[in-house]
Amino acid sequence: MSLPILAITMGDPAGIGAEIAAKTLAEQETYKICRPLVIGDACVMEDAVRLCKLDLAIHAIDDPAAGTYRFGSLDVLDLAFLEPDEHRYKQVTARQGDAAFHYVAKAIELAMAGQVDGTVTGPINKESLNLAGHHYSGHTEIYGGLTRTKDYAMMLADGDFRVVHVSTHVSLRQACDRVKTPRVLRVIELADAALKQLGIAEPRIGVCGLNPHCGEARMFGTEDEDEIRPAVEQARGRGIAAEGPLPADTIFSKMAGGMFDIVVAMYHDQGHIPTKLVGFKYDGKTDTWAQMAGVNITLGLPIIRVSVDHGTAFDRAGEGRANPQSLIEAVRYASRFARGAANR
Amino acid sequence: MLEIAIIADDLTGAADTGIQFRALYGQALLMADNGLAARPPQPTPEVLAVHTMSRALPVGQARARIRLAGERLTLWRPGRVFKKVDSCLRGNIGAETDALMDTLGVPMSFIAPAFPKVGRTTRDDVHLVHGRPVAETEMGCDPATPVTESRLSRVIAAQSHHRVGHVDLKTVVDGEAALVAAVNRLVDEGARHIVFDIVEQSHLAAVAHLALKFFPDALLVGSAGLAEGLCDCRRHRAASRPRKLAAAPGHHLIVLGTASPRARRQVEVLQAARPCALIELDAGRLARTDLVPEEDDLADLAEALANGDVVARIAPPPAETSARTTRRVAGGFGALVAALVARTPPASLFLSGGDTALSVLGRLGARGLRLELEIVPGLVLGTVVGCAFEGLAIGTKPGAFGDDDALLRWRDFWS
Repeated sequence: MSLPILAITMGDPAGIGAEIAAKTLAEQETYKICRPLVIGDACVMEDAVRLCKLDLAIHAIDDPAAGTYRFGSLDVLDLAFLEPDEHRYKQVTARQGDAAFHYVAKAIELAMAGQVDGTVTGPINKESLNLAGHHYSGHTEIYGGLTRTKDYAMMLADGDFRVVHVSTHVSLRQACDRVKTPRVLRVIELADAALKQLGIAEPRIGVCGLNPHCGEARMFGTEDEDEIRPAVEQARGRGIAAEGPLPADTIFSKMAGGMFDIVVAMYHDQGHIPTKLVGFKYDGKTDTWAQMAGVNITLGLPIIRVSVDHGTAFDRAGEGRANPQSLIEAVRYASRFARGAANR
Repeated sequence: MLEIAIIADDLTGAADTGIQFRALYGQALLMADNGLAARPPQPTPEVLAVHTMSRALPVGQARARIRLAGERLTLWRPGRVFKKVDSCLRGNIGAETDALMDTLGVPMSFIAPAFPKVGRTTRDDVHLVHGRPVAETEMGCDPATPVTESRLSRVIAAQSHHRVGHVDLKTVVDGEAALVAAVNRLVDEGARHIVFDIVEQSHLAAVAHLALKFFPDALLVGSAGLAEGLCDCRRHRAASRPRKLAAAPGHHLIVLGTASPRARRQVEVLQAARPCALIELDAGRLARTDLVPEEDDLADLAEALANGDVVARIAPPPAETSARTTRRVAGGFGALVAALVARTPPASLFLSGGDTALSVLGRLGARGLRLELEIVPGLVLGTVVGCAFEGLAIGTKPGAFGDDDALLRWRDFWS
């Protein structure tokens, strides 16, 4: 089969999105696994290429079919949202938030129409987004809204360390209320399907408890026994190799040791903290992130969506110092998903 | 049951085609393609007019958008699909027809964009506007979608993967048997798109009749003229009576997103007959405030609307504007009008021009319009569905369209 076309959104122009996209497409390896197409503003991409002193020619197009997809020529679907003087690094502006939203909307439209095989998203700024009148709490919610999908889940991955969440951007109080058998079962099923698409024939799935020690036989909390355990049992009845509920304080170590291929976390921080502990390395001496590994994947959508697992980093935008590692990894993951989808 | 679905490449075209079928079948809903949910609403409307806003898109994107709209539409199980295209051949007619045929799994299309009532005809395969080949009219230098070819079959073939066959005027006039024989011969030769010479409305009725009686699987592709021809074939049905609509309290707001001479004349005729405030908005300022409306502009409009009818119009923009600026002007106008409607609800809202209508409806959060009736040809009245402004009466028409008294007729309708 021909390599999948991946739409890579530029993210908020004020942040490091364009820079990491340029650096990712400056890697010859990228072109061996996919045909990358940046969705954004050509003028911003030109600035990123200049800033990073990359030997890339910008090729602005208005249709994915017009891309050359050759190393050395950076294909950009130019939405021309910004005037050059509206591009301002490090600044929250409605104009740049609006542009970032439309890059994502266009990528979704192209994927839904089958013009691209998957989407990879650069970082956006929620404040800019909301200033522009797009009231979403993040990418995942934009994708859910624009693809009309209600039943989706956020997965984080750093190599073989993978976590999928029952809930994400809600308060901790609400998160506890969302631990219900049908939702937990659905997330287990989504995890199983995603890993099979990645080529893991029989995924082993560990399911977190909600309460400390999984509630210690209902001594402090009943959700583990009343909501999570039935979901795990139903999943096993459907042939899924799920195990749980297991205490959250040790389950991730077990996955790191090879016991599981993925863990189902019950809420945002339960899954995010261990993943970033593994993938992120902060250097206090230089005040920089020495490592920002890990990607964010939305499961349950009708299209493929993988994202970097870091923010816009306004504080270092426009300086040429951004680390593209997470985006490179996101492209790899999206490519694997796309090839898995093509082989089904 | 959904009797007929219309897929149009612009909003006003969807509205004026949808309203024709509404008179025949009953409830009609107008919506954007991205509003097509997996499950149709209950009760399902009899008529669904979908606008894809794909006329000015690059051909590949237009094809893909139509394919996606077609896929979503199949879930609604329409009895028949009608592809609405521009009577001046602007847009991606060949590519969009191909995509819809592939998605719906139909073997052929009958393409007749002519609309003799407004001077659009096809003779010897040449598409004419008031007797001149379309590429030699102002359509040849349309800023967004120039028409550079007048031969209809070539226009289609340039974007299609299929062979195009042409039926001449003599055959169309000769009647049923000649038409059936001609179409069968062209199909045998490998044609999957059949284009027709048309110089009278009766010819369009003949093409529609041909499809209904002998080629039920053919996709009908045309403008409001062919839609009318299709309706003429169904006249035995009892016409559906429009609902009685009462004006809401407040004054009437007319929004003109076009600076065309015709639109200016329509305002003059309105002002000569009825008192109304004319407020001109600076295009540059609108472009700068497309995300957050300017409070001063909003306050001025709200005060005027509280005291009487208002016509809000964009001051003529500079001759040279980029696509980005044009988009932002429409966005700014939409944001301002939506904020005004929220602050000072009007008795009715009239939107001239597809981009303006789309922008305003988008900012209002409307899922679509329930099409009610056609006040004058091309001027359609609908009511908002699916948002906080449910039931608000909205009129639409193409920007540079209609007689001089079109706006006056709209306003008089509410008296």
